Amino acid sequence: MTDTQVIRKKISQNCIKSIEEKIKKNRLTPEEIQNMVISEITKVIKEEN
Amino acid sequence: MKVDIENVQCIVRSSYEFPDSGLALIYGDNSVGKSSIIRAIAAAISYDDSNRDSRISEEQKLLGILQDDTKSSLGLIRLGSDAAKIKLKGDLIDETAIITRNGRFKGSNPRFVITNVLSDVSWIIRILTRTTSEKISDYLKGFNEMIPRYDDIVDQARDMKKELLVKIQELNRMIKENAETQRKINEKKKTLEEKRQLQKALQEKINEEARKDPNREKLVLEINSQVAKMNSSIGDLSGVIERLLERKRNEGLQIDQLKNDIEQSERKLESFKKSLEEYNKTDLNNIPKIEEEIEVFKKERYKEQFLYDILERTYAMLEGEHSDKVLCPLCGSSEINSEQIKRIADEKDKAIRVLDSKISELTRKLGTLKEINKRKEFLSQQISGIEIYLNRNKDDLKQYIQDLAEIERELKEKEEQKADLIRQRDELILVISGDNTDKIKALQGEIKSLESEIKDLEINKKYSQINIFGSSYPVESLTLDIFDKGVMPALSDIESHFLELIETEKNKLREEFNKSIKGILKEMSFDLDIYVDADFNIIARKKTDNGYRILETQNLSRSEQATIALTLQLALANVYAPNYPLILCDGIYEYFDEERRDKILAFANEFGKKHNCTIIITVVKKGMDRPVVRLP
Repeated sequence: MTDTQVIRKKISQNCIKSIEEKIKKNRLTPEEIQNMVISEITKVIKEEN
Repeated sequence: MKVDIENVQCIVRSSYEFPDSGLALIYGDNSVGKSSIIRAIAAAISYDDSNRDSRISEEQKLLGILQDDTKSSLGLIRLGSDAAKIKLKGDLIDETAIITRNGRFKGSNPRFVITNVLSDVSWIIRILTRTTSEKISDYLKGFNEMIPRYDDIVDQARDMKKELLVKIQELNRMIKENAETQRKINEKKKTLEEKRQLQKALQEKINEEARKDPNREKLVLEINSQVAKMNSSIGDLSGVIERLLERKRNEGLQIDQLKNDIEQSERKLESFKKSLEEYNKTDLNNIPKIEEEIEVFKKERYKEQFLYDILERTYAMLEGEHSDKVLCPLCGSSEINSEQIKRIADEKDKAIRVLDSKISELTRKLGTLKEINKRKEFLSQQISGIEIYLNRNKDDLKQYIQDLAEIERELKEKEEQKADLIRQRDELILVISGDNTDKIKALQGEIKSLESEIKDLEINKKYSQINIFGSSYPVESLTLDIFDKGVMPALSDIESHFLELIETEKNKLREEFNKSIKGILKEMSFDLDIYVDADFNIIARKKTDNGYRILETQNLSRSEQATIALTLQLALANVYAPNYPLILCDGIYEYFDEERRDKILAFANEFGKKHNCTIIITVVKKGMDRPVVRLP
């Protein structure tokens, strides 16, 4: 069974990393932030399955 | 720096020259227009002609630059003029502002303007009141470019959590609804498996017996091989049917979604059409006529204002030294008295006010009509957009319904093929069943009816997939777990991580600000201690024999108010806006004692030179050896 703790950790770490990289250079729009988070969620869940 | 001012309060048209860095003083008696210059400069750097917010901002109130027609005597624009013009041109600044009566100022504070303590006291009250600590941290936040970026992420994470919570609840409900059907399916499947095992055991028995009988062995082997082939075909068909069922389900979901979309769009369209109908009832052909009327009133007003200005000047002259040499500006007669002139001027003033109210009423009416016109255009655009979207969706829906019919036809065909094969297979099995024929026949019947019951139940299972954040996931408890215990806490982690960063940045701001305040207090030997505490309250305290005493806002002396205002603003400029070209101090100088005044001027001059900015201070007292703009 998928370990939800692993999913949680992977999503939050990946998201924080990718958002921090971008936000240092520029202010992101809400859509951009949402897209980045959703793409990390999709990636991790796909991997887990 | 050259400052040109037209039509600001008492200033008709004047130019002033200030140094580009260091200290500059505006010197003059009370009520000669010192504050008007400060307000004009403050207005020019904070004016935003694209802003159409009709509310009067806190800053406009504080600066006394209200643009409200009904209070024109308090306004920035000179009575009788339509607009004020202010031009600032220097090494680091180049601003031209034409300020109209309905113009508004930027939402942010016109920073680094210290107005006279009397009007600024509300600001000090706000910053010294513990209940407004949020305001101070907000104010400081405006000086840090990373905080709004982190704020955006926190907001977005919260929004996504809200959206996800709804989806999790929906998923939970779907799983519960599916669970009951699934329980029945599982029960049936268990019985089915038992029956199949029984049938298998019987067939094993038949095979065993056939092996002992050489006459039957060949036939049994032959039929068994045919049955195996048929079973494989049945298996293939089942796979095809499963895939078709999945497609049917998805198609059904798409159709539901589209129907929902169409319904919503139709509702929206209907309400937009209704609003448009309402707007259509208003007669908009009046717009040019009203515009014309306003022009006529404005011309008339200009004439009255012109006369009023002349009469006012004549009145001033009649009250002055050479009153005997004054001629009547209306008829040229030398026999005039000031009372008469005053009376006519008052009449003109009244007439101007009447015209003002007419103009403002018509302007308001015109504004409403123009707004309706704008909304009409907007609504028409929206309506045609929705209609295009609606038609596209209706076409899509038609296509999906056709596809669904095609899938259903194919499904029916495959199911018939499968049923046919099963029937043939079962008949073949019966050929070799010998004594067990009845038993096998009964089992075949039971298996057939169980399979059809399971099929019906599977069809009744409502949901197979759920869309979360734009992707589809199967409706099952595993999905629920992933999103509830995996994704949701991940979003919370993101939120708290960036909240921590905001906190760090805010504390950094606070520490820098406190350091700067401390430096300024020391430099000017102020006897107050001012700082921002951990909760972002601004605290002012005074050293006494019994330790520090916290100053209460309502008990502040003028000198304390001035000290706080000046220190805080210089500290802000020092830390957060080292390249800000102007700091304006109006009416605070006189609240300091003689010894401190010299220190303030020396410090301001040094501060201005160091930061390459001009600090303009208004003064009443004479005796300063500094660059001065002297007012009569």
